[in-house]
Amino acid sequence: MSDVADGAPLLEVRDLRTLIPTSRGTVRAVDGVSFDVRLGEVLGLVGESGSGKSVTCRSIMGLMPPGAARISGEVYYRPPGASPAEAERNVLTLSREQRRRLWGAELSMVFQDPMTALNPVVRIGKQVIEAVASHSDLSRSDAEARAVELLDRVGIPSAKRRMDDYPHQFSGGMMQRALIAIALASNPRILFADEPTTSLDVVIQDQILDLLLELQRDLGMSVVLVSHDMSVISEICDRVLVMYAGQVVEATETDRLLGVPSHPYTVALLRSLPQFVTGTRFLPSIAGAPPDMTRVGDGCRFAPRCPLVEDACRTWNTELLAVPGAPVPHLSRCRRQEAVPSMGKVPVPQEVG
Amino acid sequence: MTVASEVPGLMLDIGDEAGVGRKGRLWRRRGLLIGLTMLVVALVVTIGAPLFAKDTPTAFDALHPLAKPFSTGHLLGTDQYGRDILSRVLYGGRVDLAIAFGATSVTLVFGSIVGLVAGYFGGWVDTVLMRIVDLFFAFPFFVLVIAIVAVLGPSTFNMFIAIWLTSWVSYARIMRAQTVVTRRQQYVLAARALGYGRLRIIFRHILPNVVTAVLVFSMVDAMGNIILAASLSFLGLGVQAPAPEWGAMISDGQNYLLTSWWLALIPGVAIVWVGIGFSLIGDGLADVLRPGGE
Amino acid sequence: MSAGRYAFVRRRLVQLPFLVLGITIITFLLLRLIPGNPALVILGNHYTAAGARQVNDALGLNKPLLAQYGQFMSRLFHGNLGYSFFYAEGARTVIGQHIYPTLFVILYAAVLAACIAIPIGVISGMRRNGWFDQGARVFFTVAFAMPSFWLGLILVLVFSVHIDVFPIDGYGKGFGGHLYYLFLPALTLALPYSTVLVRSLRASVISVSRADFVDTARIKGIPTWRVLTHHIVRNAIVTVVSVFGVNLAYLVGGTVLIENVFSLPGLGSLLVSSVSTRDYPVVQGVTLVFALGIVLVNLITDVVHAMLDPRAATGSGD
Repeated sequence: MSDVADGAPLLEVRDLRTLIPTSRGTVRAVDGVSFDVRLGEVLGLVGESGSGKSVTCRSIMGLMPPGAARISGEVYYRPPGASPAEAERNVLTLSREQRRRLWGAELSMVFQDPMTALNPVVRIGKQVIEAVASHSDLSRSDAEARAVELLDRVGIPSAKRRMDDYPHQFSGGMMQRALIAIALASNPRILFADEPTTSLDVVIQDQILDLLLELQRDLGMSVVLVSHDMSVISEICDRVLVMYAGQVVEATETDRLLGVPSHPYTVALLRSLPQFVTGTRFLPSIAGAPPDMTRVGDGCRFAPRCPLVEDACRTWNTELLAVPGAPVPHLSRCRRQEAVPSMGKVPVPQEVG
Repeated sequence: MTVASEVPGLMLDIGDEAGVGRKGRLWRRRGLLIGLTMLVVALVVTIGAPLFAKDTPTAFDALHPLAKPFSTGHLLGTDQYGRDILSRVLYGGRVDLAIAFGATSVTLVFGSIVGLVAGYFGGWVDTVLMRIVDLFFAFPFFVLVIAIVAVLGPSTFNMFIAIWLTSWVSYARIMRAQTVVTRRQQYVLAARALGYGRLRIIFRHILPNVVTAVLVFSMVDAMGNIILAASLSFLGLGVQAPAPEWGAMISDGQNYLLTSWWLALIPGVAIVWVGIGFSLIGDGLADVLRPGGE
Repeated sequence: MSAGRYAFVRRRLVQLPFLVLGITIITFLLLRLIPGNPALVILGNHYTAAGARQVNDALGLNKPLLAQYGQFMSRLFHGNLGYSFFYAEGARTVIGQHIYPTLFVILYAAVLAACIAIPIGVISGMRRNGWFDQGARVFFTVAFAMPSFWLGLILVLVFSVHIDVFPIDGYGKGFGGHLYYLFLPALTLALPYSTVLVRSLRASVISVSRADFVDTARIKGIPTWRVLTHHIVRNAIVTVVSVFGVNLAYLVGGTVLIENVFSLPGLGSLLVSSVSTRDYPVVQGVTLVFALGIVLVNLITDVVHAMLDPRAATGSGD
């Protein structure tokens, strides 16, 4: 784990909502998400597919397809040395051109599938150089040298020779490294990593995660790591946000989350991890399915699948409540938090609805 | 002549992307209806030509050659021999529509059978058949058709023959590609595992799924064949004078372009009308027949 | 390193001789389709026994089929495309005299089609279902349904007769003259051809712009125009190249009609006139030339495709 810096929020997200109109209705992909990203921390976003974690990142970055979504809320980016005007301006309202200046130099992103995330008809070297050159005035040879340096830094052997290769000549792990090199080319302060290890096999996964941690430490940047895999998150994240059905349902430091989870969904997530399952040959799964995102409203969205559910839960206007007696900040969107520790003795519902 | 691209679906690709959501689908349906209407209108007036046309297509009105449209008794004017243009358009349409349906259906059936056989049996059968198909594709269709008509002698019937001999290859290619893909699908493997006979598999399992692409393409092909027939007749290699035909009429009108432009213009409008009709039906079919809806 | 890239092109080259062989066979058989007595058909009213013998010798019709083919092929190897009865000289010479205008128009049309199709296809794809896209689609649906000769006549009517910007027909002198005189014919050919190109490019652009690597490119902070050209178009163009080549046959077919409408002294006109004069060797020769030309163009298209897409090497072949 990295050393958490002085705690000044680098990125502040307030009540982010992303609505996506579809032919079946409007999907409330992100429904009131708020969090901070601190200087130099590794923040995890964990949840099932459809929980809204990817859309959250893309909405903040401004990468949603134009016209496809209605985004509201406030996002403030406050790098050290920013002028008061810059610090108070809502990133979501920036023009295309203003956002473009942030991309690469301040905010960056790495995508899930390296095979499709690299331009297949252009050499790797050129793609890295393009990233280097976009925010600097280096000469061609200098940019090239820097590109080689970057590829080397992310652990690609014979970097100089590899510059001339095409993406399809790289293995999955190497492509992901190249993508990381591209993302870091202009020294961004925040890196959003959207499921960077999902399409890689387990051994490579670890290598990539180690690489991310190493780079994060050396460059002092913040990383927002998105994954559906709790074990990935628990490996390198300082703090974790658990997302479900477009909302944050629990947020705290990683160690605390693993030791004292305070939301039934988190418990279920943890239970499905191999290392936390003891005494049984079967991996428990979470029965039921996430709600239809075009029809969510008030009431707890996890209620239909929750083993602790009461009638009041279904009509409760959910909000994040502080967990009492926690040594570090700990929020949970459950009104029966105190009952959660007892879940260890409540059997997880097994059959499918 | 049909413009057969390697991936036939690419040509009629409008359906896929524009059809996001209900609005797109509605347009497709409307297009289908409009296209069908246009085609039906064309069929009705040409088949029922005697009812709609004032004269027979070869009757001379020696008193009024080159009459303008809307002039006395001639809704669309007359040509240099005084023949009523409207009548000639209606009767002329018979040949072109006959080609659209007659030539296309034969090539569709024959080509599809070849493609189906090649795709299903694979191996050397496939190789041989497809090599022949490739060979045909090496020639510019139109030139080949002209050459065939040249040696057989220009006539309406020989036009049919020339088209039959050359146009089937597009269908063979499409059918084969579809068959190969479908053959590997799960449900076909399942049918084979259950021991179903070959013929049964072909007809009841594979065919319904591959028919779509071919049907959609046939609409464009029909349009292409009409233009092909018109082109041949335009060059004097198809329907022979004095029988009316749209392309031939345009050729006749060429000499009078400066003064009596309607001679050449009007038959072209008829071709475009029918062409758009087929086009719209093709796009509409592509959307309607798409498995799984939106 | 690029050795692997052109592997599948080499495979095509190997298949080439067989293709060419097949073409010659079909072309050869073409002539044997003539119903009745070819000499009678060819000579018509000038039929004499002596003349008939000459024709039969020239075409080798007295020999068994295989020997005929042999004669045909051996002549071919020597560059002898037969003897034109009408022009009373070698078919090769006659064809050679007519080839330049046709080549010019086809190339001109191809270039025009690219100039029209690329901007329209890209804009339609990037702003799909917008007013531009819908308008373009309507325009091209109509254009596609138009017979090229009719379209040509309309263009002549408007631009040569009423507005008098372009000449009605003819070929012009010198390169600049050709460009001017051949603009309308080339445009007439280019429009329906562009239809297919636009559709293909549009679909290609739409699918490419959804790919992750476009986001990766944007994330670098590079200007939007660069994302468009270096990433989106650069990838979209790859599929279009294939479509371009495959449909080139259309241009060739179309030129026959266009040369008639615009009175151009090219191969197309030659073909048509030879049909009416029953000058079969010329018909045969032109067909052969066209077919071989297309084979050549397809080969070039494949090479260009491999150059543009480095993945093409990895043996997926067709």
